[in-house]
Amino acid sequence: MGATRGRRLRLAALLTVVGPGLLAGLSDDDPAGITTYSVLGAKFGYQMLWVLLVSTIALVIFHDLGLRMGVVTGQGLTGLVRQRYGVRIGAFATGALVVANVGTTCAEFAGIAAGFELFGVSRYVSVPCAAVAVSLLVIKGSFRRVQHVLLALSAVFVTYVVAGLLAHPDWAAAARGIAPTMPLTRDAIALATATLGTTLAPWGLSFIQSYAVDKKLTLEDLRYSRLDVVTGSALTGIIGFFVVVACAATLHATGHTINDAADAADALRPLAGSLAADLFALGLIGAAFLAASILPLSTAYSVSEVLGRPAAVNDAPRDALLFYGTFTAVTVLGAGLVLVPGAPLIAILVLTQVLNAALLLPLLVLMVGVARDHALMGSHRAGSAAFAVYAVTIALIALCVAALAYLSVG
Amino acid sequence: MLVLTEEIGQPVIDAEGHALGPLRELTVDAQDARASVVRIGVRRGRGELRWFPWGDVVSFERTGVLLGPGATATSDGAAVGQPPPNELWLNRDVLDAQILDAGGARIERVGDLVLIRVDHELRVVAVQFGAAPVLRRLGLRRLASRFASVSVQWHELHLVSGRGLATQLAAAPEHLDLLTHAQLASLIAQLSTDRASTVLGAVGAGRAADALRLAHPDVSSRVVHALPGPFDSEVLAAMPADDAVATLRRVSPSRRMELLDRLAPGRADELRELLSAEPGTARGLMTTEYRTAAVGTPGETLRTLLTSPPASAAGLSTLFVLDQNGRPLGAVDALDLLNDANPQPRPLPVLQADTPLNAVIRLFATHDLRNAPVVDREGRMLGVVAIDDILDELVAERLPGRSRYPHLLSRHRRNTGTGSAPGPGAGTGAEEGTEPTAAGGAAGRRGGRP
Repeated sequence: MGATRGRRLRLAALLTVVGPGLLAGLSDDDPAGITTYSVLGAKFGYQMLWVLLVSTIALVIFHDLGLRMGVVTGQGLTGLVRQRYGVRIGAFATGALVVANVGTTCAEFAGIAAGFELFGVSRYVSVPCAAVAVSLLVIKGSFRRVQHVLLALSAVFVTYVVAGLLAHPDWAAAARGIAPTMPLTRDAIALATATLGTTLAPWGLSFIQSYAVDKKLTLEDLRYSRLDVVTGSALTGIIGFFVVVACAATLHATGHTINDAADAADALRPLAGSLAADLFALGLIGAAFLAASILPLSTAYSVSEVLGRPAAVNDAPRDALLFYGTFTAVTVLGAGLVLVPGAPLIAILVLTQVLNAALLLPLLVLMVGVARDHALMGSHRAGSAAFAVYAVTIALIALCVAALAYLSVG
Repeated sequence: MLVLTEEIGQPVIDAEGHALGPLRELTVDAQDARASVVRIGVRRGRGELRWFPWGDVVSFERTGVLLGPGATATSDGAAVGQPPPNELWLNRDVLDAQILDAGGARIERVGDLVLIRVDHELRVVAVQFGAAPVLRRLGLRRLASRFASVSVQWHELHLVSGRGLATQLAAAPEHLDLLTHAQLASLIAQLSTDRASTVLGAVGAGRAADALRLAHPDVSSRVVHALPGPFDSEVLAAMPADDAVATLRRVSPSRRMELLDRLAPGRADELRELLSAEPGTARGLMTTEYRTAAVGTPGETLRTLLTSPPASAAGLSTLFVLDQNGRPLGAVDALDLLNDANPQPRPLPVLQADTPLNAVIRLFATHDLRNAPVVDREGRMLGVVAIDDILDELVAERLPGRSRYPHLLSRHRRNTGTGSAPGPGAGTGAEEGTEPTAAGGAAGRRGGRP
């Protein structure tokens, strides 16, 4: 009786802190993420599954840091960067985040367009409807409502697990894929770097921190919040795993090549049945919608934070004009670019990925700098052991990027 | 007039003409209302900060800082040691930190600090925020000049982030007394929970209770949840019963038990009793703090009772007249005294304990009520539902965030002329002479309380 009661209390405490970790993690499995995982599976089969494991660990480490920084300081990432490094670096980081986030939002709406087109719905219908739905949700909804809808939306990721199972993967081969081996070719390194980059995204880092601030989590909540971060990151990895497995068992086995996630859904139809293909497409739409809500939100948090303006989903629009203005501008720009006939979409998406990758390393370094700052973090300042973990992770990502740069030039 | 960001980085030169490195830091004593600079910090490259007392500074010009002959660096490179904890570092703790703009009830970020020279002192007079200082620091001077610079006087400055908050609270907690209850409530709503709890700890249980009673129950519950014991129960004891109940309803069951156990037994039983009621009913909304008189009490005595100061914390403006069995027969309102020196109780509609919220709202609207007694099956009086309890329920749905406060605040500012920065809705001069709703004391309590 007592034990059950204790467990129930712990569960209740966990449920009140759930959100930042799950949403920031799962929104990393956006169309760009699914595309990367699909290509990883289609090209290399099960061999590079271990990259997902490494990415998931990096995700846990830095999302946990972001959340802790938010809870300890009560401030978002860009605000802290401004306070620690001055207004120039703060403005530069925010500017880069805004540009990268508009591009990424555009990628999410492109994912919505592609997903619906698989079901025969025109993008001129699906994209405006999605943009309006996202805006109404955040502008009209309270924090609690927004969180409930977004968490419910995350359930759509189950479709990837089912699609993966329907593809009848070779589990023994998948297990061997956890061992870190890879061909040292430009393609393989590029995909490994892309997987790291798409899982650990700059906007995810700024989102988790600001969202934890907006949720008003306390130091006491941190213990449970860590579980939220680990669950969110683990689910992100597991979903990625099933996407890779689905593509490895079918597309790789038959030698198909694909360019994006919509291709993958289409190619799955004759190989794994139309249910698997439909589920894959449905997952793509849900994932894109989730990320299309979170990206403008993340941008609005970052811009408001750096200028020190209120940033809370509970605020009425007229009390937080900058917050909601940024949110709307990013949504309209992202959705609009997808609808402009003849817009260089591919170029925008590629440049966005490059910008996100280029932004990630400096942003991680700034984060660690803040985490080490005694004046800001007080007794929760990152110690030398934690610093070593951050440094090794950053070095690993830097190594991937350097290897890719070397192979690209050479 | 100087601004901090243009002084930081200029060379510091000792009496012999040696360049000691660029100026990196200025400190002021957090207790010093005049905010005179007491120390300067110099650092070359990535080395340690070296500190010099302000007395060593011979000249402080845009071209450089000149130190006097006594200021030759000692063996460890500094003329004085680290600043004590009560000193605020202007560059690290204040610049770019978050502050409360009490006038607009919003949190802002410091864009720059304004310094003036008075005799041989250098004093901080104000901090600037908004777009202008940010653009100026980014080198976009022309663009910056298009924006009006907004500033807060140093003595009205409330630092709310990082070390600044802790230093200011430790040095001068009475500083927060300048805030009205509504301003404090707005600040609490915007701050992180742990910081909000620190601020309330500094103002004491009475003021904390006054701020939390104005705050949204979602806010008050999350903050009370985080308050340390026994301060948490002291705050709850000082809150009006209905607001304390609204707060307790929203904290976790285990925390609720813990809080109630720490209260005085009588108060705890009263709150437990109220908590046992269904939330969306008259009994769930009511307070048990009200004043009564026995039937047949002469008008003269009623008058004396009404005009005497209330015994409990709740501000009471209505007297309920009960029969021998405790059934309400009518009420006398303070307003009735205006018309009749010896007023007679007038009949009031009563609410059954289980009347649902919607029916309560209808009754209040139809009869133009400010409060109504709640009775049990036998008609005996249990408590009072006041109009503000109903508004709390309605506002909870409609205005979940900070939107609650600006109305209170702008109204207060129109009446008192306080507030340092022009904001929307300020200074219109309307509603001259209205009682400041948000101000403290019994006179400023919400009108609807019985």
